[in-house]
Amino acid sequence: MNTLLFLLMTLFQTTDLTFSGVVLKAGSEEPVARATVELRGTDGGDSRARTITTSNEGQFVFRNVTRGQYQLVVTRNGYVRATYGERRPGGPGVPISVPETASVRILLTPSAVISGRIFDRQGQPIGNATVQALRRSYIQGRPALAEVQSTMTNDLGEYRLFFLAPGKYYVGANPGSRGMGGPDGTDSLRVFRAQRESTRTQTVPREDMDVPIYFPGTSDQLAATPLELKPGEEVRNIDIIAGPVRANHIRGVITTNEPGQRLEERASLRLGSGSSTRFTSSPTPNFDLTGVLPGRYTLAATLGTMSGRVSIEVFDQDLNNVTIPVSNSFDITGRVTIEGASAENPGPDLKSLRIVLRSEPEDGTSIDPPVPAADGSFKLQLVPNGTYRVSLSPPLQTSYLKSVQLGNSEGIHSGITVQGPPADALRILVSARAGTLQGRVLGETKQPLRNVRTVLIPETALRGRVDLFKNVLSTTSGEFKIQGITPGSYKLLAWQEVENGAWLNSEFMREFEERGVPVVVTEGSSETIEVHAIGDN
Amino acid sequence: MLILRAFILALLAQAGPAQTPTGSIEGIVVRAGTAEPIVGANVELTRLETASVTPDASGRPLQNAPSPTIFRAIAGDGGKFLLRNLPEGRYRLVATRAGGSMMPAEYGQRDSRSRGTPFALADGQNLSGIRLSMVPTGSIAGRVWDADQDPVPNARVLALEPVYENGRRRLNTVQAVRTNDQGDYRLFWLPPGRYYVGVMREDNRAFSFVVHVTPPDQFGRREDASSPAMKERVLDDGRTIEETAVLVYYGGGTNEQMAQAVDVLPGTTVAAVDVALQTDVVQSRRVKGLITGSDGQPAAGALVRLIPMQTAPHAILPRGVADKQGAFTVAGVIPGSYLLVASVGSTDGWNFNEGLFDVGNGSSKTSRIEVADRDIENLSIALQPAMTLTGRLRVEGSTPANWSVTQARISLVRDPNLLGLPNAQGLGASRALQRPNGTPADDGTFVYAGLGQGDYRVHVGAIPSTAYVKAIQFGTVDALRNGLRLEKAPESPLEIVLDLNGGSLEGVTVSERSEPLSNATVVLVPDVPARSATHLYRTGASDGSGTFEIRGIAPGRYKVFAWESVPKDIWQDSEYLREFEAQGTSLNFTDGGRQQARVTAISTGRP
Repeated sequence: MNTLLFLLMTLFQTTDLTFSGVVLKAGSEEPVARATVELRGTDGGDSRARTITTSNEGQFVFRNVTRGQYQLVVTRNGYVRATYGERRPGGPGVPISVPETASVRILLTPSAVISGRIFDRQGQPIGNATVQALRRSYIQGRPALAEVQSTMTNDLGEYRLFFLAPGKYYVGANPGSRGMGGPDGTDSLRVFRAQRESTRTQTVPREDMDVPIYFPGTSDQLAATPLELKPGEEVRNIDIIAGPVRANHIRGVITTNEPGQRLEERASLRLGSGSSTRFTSSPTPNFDLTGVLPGRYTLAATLGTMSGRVSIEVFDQDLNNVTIPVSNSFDITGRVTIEGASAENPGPDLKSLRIVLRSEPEDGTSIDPPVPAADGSFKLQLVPNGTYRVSLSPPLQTSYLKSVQLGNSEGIHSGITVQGPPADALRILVSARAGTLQGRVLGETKQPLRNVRTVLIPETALRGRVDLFKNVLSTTSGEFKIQGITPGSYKLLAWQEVENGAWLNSEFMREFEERGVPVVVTEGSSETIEVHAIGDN
Repeated sequence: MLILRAFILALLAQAGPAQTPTGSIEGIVVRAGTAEPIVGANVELTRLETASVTPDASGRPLQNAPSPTIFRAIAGDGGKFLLRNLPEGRYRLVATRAGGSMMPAEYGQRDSRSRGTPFALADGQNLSGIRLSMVPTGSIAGRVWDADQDPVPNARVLALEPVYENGRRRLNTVQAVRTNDQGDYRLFWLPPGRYYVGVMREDNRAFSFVVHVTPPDQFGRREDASSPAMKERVLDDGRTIEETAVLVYYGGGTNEQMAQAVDVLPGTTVAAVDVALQTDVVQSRRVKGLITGSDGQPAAGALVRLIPMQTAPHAILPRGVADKQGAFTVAGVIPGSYLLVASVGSTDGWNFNEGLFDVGNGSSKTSRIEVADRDIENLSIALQPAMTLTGRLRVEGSTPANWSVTQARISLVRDPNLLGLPNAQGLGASRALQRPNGTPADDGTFVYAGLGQGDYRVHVGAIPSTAYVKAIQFGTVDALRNGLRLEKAPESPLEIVLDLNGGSLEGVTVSERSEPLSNATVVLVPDVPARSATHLYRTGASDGSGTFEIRGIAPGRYKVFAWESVPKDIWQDSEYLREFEAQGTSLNFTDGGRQQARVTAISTGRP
């Protein structure tokens, strides 16, 4: 009996299925020869990838295919990698069911090229410079550029960034080479340096720094000009003049007004620019920070239990006579309470939560996040004076943060302020009666759309609260479900294509504000709603 | 912020003594073979401290060696430089230029790739008229095609040069770049000389190739490796085979012997060095088996690497990881001899400084396998815990005042030292002792932990220049001559005897016209029966007046040779040496014996 079953299963599994297709150039629909077609099982079936090459007519045939779900990827030099079911060139695809689907048509989009040269300020080509192709992205709602590809210039200063998917790009050049690479797992390298080098390893102290310069010639990412690449296009002569820029000093003194207290001999200095933080150790009271580029910073000093910070702006020269006043830090006790818990939703497990304090504005202040005891009590140690946003980590899934109170002041929206030893405890209230929103994402012709980013956006006044934004991807049947919503007024938007976090950016939102579906969420409510995807046409 | 000064500025790197010294050096920096000044060249003057200790196995100078005093200037108008306020002493003088368009130039240099000579500056001496000639670098450019006449993008292109190791010539990577979308590449900032070009396809699905371009003032040698670039192919009979890309040479297919040389002249580009990839894929095999740990249980997560025994400019290192049952598959194995290294629970990973893997306190197994025309199945591998070797360094003769036995460094180097073999060199494995591996205590005892099975050579570094290694005994094995084979936990200690009373040779190198010749390479070669004993070779260079001194010579019969200019270690190649055998002078050293010689330098007419 078992043997028979086994035989039947074997027969069923090894059904001699054939799967075929044709690969065409997007636009002209000419066949693409010698493209590599990879078929990889995604469930059970045959998980080993099988690879074949298209014929002169752009055709391919896989024989002896086992029934199951497969991912199909087509690559060819000079074209953007294509996945079956993708919504845009290079986007994510969907699995193919064999034998339900027996034949497919794949369109390959020609990739684009950016080329140019990098020169120094004297007009000499810079060899071995790093050149990056970047795309816009968002970090905490702030626009930033993210690397897509990088290359290096040759001795003539020439570079080529190639096989790029069509779209908007920025180009950055850094004369400092990235060196010999790092632990990338597959590359292995052993270097024997010539002995003569040992006499040359002394570096000349430099008062300048290599910084990336973005096309057409700015060190400010936001001032860079994007290039629009069309399929198959080569954008030439993207030349950049790069070279070291003057690195400034910040000099000053650390002082304290705490009566009878002396400064420790060394201070830890933190220079935060919003996107990055630099740590340095310095003697006290006088400090001298080198290598500072123009920009706005928060400069903070920590000495044992004392700390302080100042906001500064560095222009193209040294900044002298900065005073950092430091004062004592304080321990804050508090308690987390959960309300509205039910058998259905008992609320979060206190033992798996941490209380996180983030300085406002963010300046890299680090306070050990405590885990509450079983009764919800906790203690934050050595909190410097300042304003802090309070959050819970990991983010709540089916509950919401309702209230954060220090003394009589509510800090849920704008944060709590510590000034001197706090007389009161920090009270954190979590409610298990969060709202839920579910529904479907529809396209132009009311068809359900999968893989669409669906985002819940709070009312304008509360957009500074990143924790109120929620986002999910629609399922294969176009459905979505958002849980843990704080009661309030929201807008719901769905994008076919959107940079992660772009919705946190007010500039970006202005364009789409009117497309949002207004939703009001109340405690414990569960709404069903339909939303039309932006970008389906 | 580059300011070219109208005149010259000397920067004192360190504060001078109380009374300002008055020595000076003045000269110009020009492009070699021309009078064209190189404005903006960096001129660096290094005051030498007396070095009486040899470096360790990796060539690193002693950690506690004082950092030399460096004086700097920038060549101004007319390429002129002036270094002032110099104390008396011995110096080296080098000019470099930012970027890589020029080779560094050193005072007393014979050609752009060799070292110059130190020179003396007396108290208050004003040395003028120095001319430092900088040689421009060159480049090689070309295109890589496939069998369909399509350009091959993202292929790895290597500039290779011959080096000599234990008497064997091999090609080593100088630079690695990759082709662009048009299949074009450009190897640049190359020191003038003879090169070979190698090309290898990369697996563009797992693409992670790093470009290595080294400015010419930092040149060294590098060994390069990658994972196999594999592809499946369906044969006409329906069978699927795996193929792996191998290195192809310009002009010579996959055969290193047939590779065509490319001569790069100063300041020139050799263009159209095109390579067609037609025979670069070979059918590769799989190696499968089961790994058990030293506890007899399946060694889940064990890493298996196959390291080719045949050295190549670019090593292809296939690897695999054992699953929960201890089963592993290594794909992409090209037929040949391999060392299979399995390891688990170690500090296994990337050691960037050495580019090597450590076994650490995990376990490992090294075995030799031959892969021919079929897959290898059912290998059974039992891991063994990492081994610890103890030993003692004993010193004969009187110890110099500035040296103690604790400064010596004992290294165990794999033999052959193949890229990818686990190596415990950088390991502070004798953690309980708070000492790095191979660091002797006051009584000379040392520990070397984290060793896997295999063959090793013992190197004793950071010893006085008068010293030589007299004996290395491991049980009944003469490890100085035969090396060390570790198969199981060692039962006997490693006994090393260092004799501080080595022989010495003083002399002068002269030209064929019997005039003193500066900056010649002097090599003391052991007599024929001991030619393969690389530890007996001694080298030196004559100074500005042609005199030289070699110390730390082991007793025995030698021949001394001198060359005007010669590639490093080529004298270990018996083929090369045969041509000059008659020009060597025979010498016999007893323990502590002192000899003198006048050696006529061989002029080979080429660098």
